[in-house]
Amino acid sequence: MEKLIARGAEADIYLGRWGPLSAIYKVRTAKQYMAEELDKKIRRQRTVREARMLRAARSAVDTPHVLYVSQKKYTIVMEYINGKRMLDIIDKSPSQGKVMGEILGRLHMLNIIHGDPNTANFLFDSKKNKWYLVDFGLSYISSRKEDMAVDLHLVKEVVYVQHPTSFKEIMSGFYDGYMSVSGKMAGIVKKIDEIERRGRYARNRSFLF
Amino acid sequence: MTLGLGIESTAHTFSASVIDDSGKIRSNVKSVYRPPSGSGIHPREASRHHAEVAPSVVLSALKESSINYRELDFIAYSAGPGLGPCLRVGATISRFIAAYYDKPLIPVHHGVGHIELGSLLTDANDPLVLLLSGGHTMVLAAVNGRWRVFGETLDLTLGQLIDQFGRTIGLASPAGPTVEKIAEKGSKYVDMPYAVKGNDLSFSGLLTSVKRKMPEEIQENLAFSLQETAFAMLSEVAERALALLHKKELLVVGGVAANARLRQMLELVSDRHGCKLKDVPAEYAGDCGAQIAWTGWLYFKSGYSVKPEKAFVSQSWRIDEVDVPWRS
Repeated sequence: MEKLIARGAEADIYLGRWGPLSAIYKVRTAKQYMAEELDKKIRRQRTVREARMLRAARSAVDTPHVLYVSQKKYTIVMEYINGKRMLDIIDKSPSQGKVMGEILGRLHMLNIIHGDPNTANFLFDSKKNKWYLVDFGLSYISSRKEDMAVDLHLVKEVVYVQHPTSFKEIMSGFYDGYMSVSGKMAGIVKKIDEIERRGRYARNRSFLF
Repeated sequence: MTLGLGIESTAHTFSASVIDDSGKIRSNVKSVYRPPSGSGIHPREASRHHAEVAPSVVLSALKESSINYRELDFIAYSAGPGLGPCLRVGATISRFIAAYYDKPLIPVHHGVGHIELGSLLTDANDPLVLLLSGGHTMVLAAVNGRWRVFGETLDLTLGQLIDQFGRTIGLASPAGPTVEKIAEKGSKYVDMPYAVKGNDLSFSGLLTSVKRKMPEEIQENLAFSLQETAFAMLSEVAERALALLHKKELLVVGGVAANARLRQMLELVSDRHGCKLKDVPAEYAGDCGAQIAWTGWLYFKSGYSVKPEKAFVSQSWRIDEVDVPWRS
């Protein structure tokens, strides 16, 4: 039977079988704290969206194969990726930031916004020597530079908190990787500044009185 | 025994507090400016209120703790972020006391003040923090001597969202407690936009949507749905951070932390992730002098203070740019 291997923010992740294959069961369970209508709406939306985006993204980046989707049970069954998370690797080899940049750049070229590009969602399968991108629950299609820039801002934010000592090196590699796969992206990096300036208290306004 | 005076005046509250080095709050006196109904805080009016009450609030803080100015070891003030005219009132009076009695003067970031007082009162060691006040909606964790932002709002804060909704139904700011009461009478969930972007949030679409639905729906259901949606977004972001950072404590601070429905939701979030919800007693969740006095003590212990002529205020000051040496 399936075994619970991780409890994420929005889904429980089970490892089980699908025919002859090892498979991940991603189950969006009910959230006790939410109004029922809202909870069901979000779970349905994200299940459908994630399955669709996992497939759509495959022409640009490696993602797990979707094996089965149940809207009723809010469940996606997908190929199991036996890999290491970027999160656990990157402090030792900050140059891997480039890989994240390339992957996200390729995704954006398809006008797919990941929505949650944190370092736990990049997985390296050493047997296949391949990087996978997972967790597409917040993904959507958009060609707006603003939306792409928010994705980049999220990377920056999460790296700043989780890898503060190698932040600079990771991010410079990240931007190199991102720019190297996408020509039209120059304006997007500028957009990040715009988004961050819109943030609370972004411009320091201090004075003697 | 070290004794410190803390003065808070970032927005609607003027407050003074005396605290000692064991963390005992000897006094915490406040006076809150109330704008007329249906309006927000006018910075000039609020600062006028602060200037009027300042001397008596500071004197009663000293009197309640039975000490005089000479016995103080330092003066701490809220240097920002906040409303300029309000900040200047607290800063000016603090600088005067510090210069006249020759005491160290310590500028404190208002948000850090909320977090550190919250940690003191709930015995939190290394918490994931939700900072929810009029000016902040942030998820933070301490890493390498800074409070680092794991997620935050990309536009309005939760406090602003609730206040601005409150204003459209004729309430004065802060409208939180009244909106909460109205929401308790609502039962029908009205569909509203739910905008979680990774670890960040956006509330502006929610405000637009609730305003647009005013004519066709009763207040109670709108208030209910607004709270349900906004708090669910916040709970989800908290869950994301807990799942990734594996913190064992969830500390909620700032004025909005007083909301009972939000606490209930965060209680369930904490249970799900095997962590402990640390909620601050209502009296100290909102703005108060004690948050400044206690953080002042932490700086005093680290040897930080400024010369009176170098004293500053900062209307706009990000929390992740503030050094907090005791957290390294």
